[in-house]
Amino acid sequence: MEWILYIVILIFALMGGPIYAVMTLVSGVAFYFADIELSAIAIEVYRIASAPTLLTIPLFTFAGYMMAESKSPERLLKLAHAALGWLPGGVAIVSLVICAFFTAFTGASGVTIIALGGLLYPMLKKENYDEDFTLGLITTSGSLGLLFPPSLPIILYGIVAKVDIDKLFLAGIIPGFLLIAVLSGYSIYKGTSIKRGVFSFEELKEGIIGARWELPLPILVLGGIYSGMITPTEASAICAFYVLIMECFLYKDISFFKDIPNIIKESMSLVGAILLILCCALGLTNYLVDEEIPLKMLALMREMISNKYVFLLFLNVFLLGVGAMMDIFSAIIVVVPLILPIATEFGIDPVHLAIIFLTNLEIGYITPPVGINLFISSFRFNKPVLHLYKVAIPYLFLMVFALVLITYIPWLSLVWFD
Amino acid sequence: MMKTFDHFLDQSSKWGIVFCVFVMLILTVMNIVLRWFEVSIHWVEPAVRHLVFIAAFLGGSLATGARHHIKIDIISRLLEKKKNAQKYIDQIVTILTLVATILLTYSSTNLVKVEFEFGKEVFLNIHSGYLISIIPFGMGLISIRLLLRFLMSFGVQEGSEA
Repeated sequence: MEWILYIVILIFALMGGPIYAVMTLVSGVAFYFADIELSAIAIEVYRIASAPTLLTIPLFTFAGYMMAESKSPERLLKLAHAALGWLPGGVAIVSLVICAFFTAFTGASGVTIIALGGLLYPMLKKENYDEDFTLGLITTSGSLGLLFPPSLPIILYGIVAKVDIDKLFLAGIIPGFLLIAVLSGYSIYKGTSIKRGVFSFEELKEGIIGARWELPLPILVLGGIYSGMITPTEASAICAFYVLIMECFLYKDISFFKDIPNIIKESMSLVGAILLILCCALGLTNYLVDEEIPLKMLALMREMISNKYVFLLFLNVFLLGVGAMMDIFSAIIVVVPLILPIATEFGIDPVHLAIIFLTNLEIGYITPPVGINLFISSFRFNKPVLHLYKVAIPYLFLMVFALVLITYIPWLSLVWFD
Repeated sequence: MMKTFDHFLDQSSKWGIVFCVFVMLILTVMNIVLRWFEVSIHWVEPAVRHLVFIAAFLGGSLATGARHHIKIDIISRLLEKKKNAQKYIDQIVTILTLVATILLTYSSTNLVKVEFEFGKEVFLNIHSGYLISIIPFGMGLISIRLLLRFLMSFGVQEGSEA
């Protein structure tokens, strides 16, 4: 009977049942057959209210959505174009940098492609980049930058794995730049035959003046945290407050009374969806840990895998599969508690594991058949999904190359802590 | 009638969440500023965490209304062009989601009863029973919206999007 119910729930999940409902039903069945009171599910749900860094999730997301709704993308694009547009492949590199900045603030929720795609696509086409390169670049860039602070997946990973968020913020910086560098190399290769822009100091000055209020933002957030003046939680409040003042009263891009309630609604709809999964998955993951499932998995793995490097290879293949099938937030909440004890046994640093995990899921966004960026781009640019599968392939290989470096050179993530 | 009620719940969730976001923002910024003057208000941190907790359920209600919940919808994507099949799948998914939310409402209601009996005042003299009540209220709200969606789906014409 128990297994029949699990099969029904699996079908429900594949039919598009919300992940939080799937988790609740699985916990309900598991608790019922283990003779555990069902109110234990509610106890686990309430535990989330005691997570000290919980506030960072809604406030950083709110800040990111405000920026996406304003003219900040245009201003930053103008600045980046003035600074980097003269390089071979310069405009493509500009696109990568701007997308990474926005993804860091909006949490790779698809907002980057929707908000920036409309600006970048015509710009790249105007510069004579070919259609497939352009589509692939924007599709890949939609999740580029999720290793940079204050990205939502990093925060969520920190909460789930109980790893310091400020450590994770630092650890992601070099691997994040490595991914941009690899894709920039490809852009330079593709851009050599394209006519380059000319560097203009005046244009750069105009760009800096235009984006004068956005520029202090990373310094405010990261400087505040690493100087020890504020915690990541407080940084999220300062960031949201600053962006609110900047967009509503300094630039006046957004109306405080007309637009802000709708932006809160949009951003909190995503936050609610994530937090509900987090609430509902806690019961299930704790049950699995209590049942010693990770230990059993470890024992099984020990029979097949004897060293750390083979385990890392296995982990990458497994996580690429997870990233291609599951949404990043659900994957973090469900898979991390199972993988973490096994990886620790194999001697992998939890901070390094976080970066490997998030890089894999970042790649998962463009991995066929169900990488979400492929669908968002298909919708945004009105192109068949199959065509996007094709254009994403070179980028997929490049990202996997960077992943190998990130996985087998822990120094890239851990240099700050040695 | 059902549509009006659903719209009312959506608007209530929206304005509730706007209130929560502003209060959490103001309280946290206020606490940072007060710290410069070596003043610290201890109830701010737990109060803000509970506001986020309320926001999670109100956001869940908004995501339910907008069908923005995170999911793995392989079957729906395969049946993208078959609108009728999608309508039936949507109805099955809605009813099973409703089962899950009712399960959570029920289990949290039991917990609230226990908490009112054995719990204690946590901050600002608020009893822990009231704080845990956020769960049944939140899940109850989401359940009502799911039920309305399920009932309203029968009014949708065959072939149109559910």
